[in-house]
Amino acid sequence: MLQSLLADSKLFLILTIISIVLTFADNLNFLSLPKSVIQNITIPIQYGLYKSSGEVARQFEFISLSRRASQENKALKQHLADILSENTILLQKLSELEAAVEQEKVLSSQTFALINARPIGINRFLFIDKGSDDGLKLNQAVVYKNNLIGQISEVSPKKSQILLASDPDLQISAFAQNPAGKAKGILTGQFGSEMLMDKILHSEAIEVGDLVYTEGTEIDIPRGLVIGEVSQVLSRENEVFKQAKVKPVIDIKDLGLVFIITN
Amino acid sequence: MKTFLFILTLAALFQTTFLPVNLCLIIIITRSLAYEEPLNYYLALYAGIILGILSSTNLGIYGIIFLANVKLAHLLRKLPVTANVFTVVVISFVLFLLTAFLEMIFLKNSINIQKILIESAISLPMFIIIRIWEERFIVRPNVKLKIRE
Repeated sequence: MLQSLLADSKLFLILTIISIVLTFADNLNFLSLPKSVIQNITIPIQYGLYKSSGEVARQFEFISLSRRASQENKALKQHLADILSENTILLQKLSELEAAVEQEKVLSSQTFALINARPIGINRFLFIDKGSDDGLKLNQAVVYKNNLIGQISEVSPKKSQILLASDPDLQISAFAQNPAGKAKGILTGQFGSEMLMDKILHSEAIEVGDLVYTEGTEIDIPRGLVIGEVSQVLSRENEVFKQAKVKPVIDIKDLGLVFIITN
Repeated sequence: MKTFLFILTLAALFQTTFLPVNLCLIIIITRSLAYEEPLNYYLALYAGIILGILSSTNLGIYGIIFLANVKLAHLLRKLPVTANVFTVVVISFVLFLLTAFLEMIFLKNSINIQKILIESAISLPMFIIIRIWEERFIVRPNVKLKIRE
């Protein structure tokens, strides 16, 4: 064991001395010629390897950047969708607020207690998203600005059904106003978008273009709400009363918000 | 030996072009820890000279550093703790740290602890690969059943 240890150390010392000799020889530039000859061969190889490694690294970097860009793109698309959704909600709220402000100008909150509601469906009846939980009751008037939309015909806790002014089941006492005077009658729905004002005396003046208002004789429907505009006057000499066709001034399908007069 | 000379040449090329780790020293230290042979000294000198040429530094410096590492590895190998294979990582860390210190003195290179940790981590799989490679021709004795008469 000692012999192998000594042999080992001897080899170590010899090789270390060779290294020291090489160090001094290189310091004194004795090895510059053989070094330059060998480097003429190794430098192009090193250059080729370096360039190839750069290309490979660029490819991996491209893949990594593509992946990151794809993830960022996905996140940005999600963010954009969230912002668009938020924007839609904000725009809706803004239009509701504007409608509420407009409503306040026409029907003052000091005179009428109003609850706003969104239409959620329409067929024969208009459905809104508020119900008895929100303080709504049967027969309350539904308006938009100073236009009468209809009357609540059914109430559930979260939803209500509105009987429209154009529904034949709703009869409202109304009057038409023009410079010549006032004409009173009973307004009945005809389905579709037309209404018929009946029981108008021949002596009372009514013309096409006159606005028709609520008389206010029904409970819960105040006086002075616009129901529609006279589109045709039907007058026959042999009839006791004359009639007038009335068309609504607003399209219910365009409404984003309606108001219920609770008091 | 020819295989290791070729591998050390390749390792020196990779080390001086794009890899930031000291591959040559990893191979030399792990081989010295695996087998105590005079061949390790020759490989260390060769690696030192090749590295000196490829990195345009003084030819003999790396030779001296690598030879010192081989000698220390042979001495540390004799300790009882080296029976556990994971001590390769600890011994490698110490030797890399010593090498970095010597490089700082002779070559004015700064010490990079992160690089030393990476090299220490690589030394264990390298040690296992070298053991597998060197023992590939060793025939394991078959278990024979003895029939009692």
